[in-house]
Amino acid sequence: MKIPDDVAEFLGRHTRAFLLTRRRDGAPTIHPMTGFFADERMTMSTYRKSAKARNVERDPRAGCLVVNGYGKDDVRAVGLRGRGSLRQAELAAMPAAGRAAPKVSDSVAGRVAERMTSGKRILLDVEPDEAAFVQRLWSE
Amino acid sequence: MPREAIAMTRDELLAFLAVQRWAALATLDPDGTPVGDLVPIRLDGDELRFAVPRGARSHANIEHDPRIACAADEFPAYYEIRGVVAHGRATVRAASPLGPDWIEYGVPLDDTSSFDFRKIQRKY
Repeated sequence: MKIPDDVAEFLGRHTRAFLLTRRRDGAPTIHPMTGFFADERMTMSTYRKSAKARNVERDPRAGCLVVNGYGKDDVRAVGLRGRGSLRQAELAAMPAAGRAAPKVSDSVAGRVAERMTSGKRILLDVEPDEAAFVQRLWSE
Repeated sequence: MPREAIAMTRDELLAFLAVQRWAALATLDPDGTPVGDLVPIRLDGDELRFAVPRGARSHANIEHDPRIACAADEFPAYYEIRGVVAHGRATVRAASPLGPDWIEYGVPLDDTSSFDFRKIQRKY
């Protein structure tokens, strides 16, 4: 799908994401994540054996809510819904360069890179069939 | 190696939710695909309350299938990440404090997952 320009611009600037999947019983669940938008899809890193990876493998129906950072009073978000999928890749495949992501230490980043290389961690993509702003919330 | 126990206690979970003002809400579209929304939340005793505008997609989805999930988290620094995800069936409550254009739901906090990275031993 072609994502509207203002939605794509928002997704390109923000990395705070809530991944939405379905549990084994079919109920929805949420996984707070850091996610990156590129190539018309959201990409996140996770453990191959994680609940979120198993959920997507079992049922690819998935979504994402991407929020404008942390600690803001003016809370805005874009909702995506579509299909989730898993892929093995090096960390370099993560479209993170230049994004304003939450800071992690070099040791944490190093462990993530090692586990991507070993295959313990994988990339989880959500390819949207719909992407739009959701209701804007002022938390004051 | 066993996974470190980083879940919140019941008291920690309630204290965390008590100061949150909004959450991510997941509902199911009629075709079963999960979709997200931003919702104001408040704690009422042991129950999480959230509100959606009448007629909104989330409202219609809950009327169709009341199974929902609500998530709130904080990320001041990596080893200070905290969050709660509550799952359950949304039940309509009395009038929303936000006014007649909103409908308030309650969800019991008996199916939750939580994480508090402050409990991770700093071994790296």
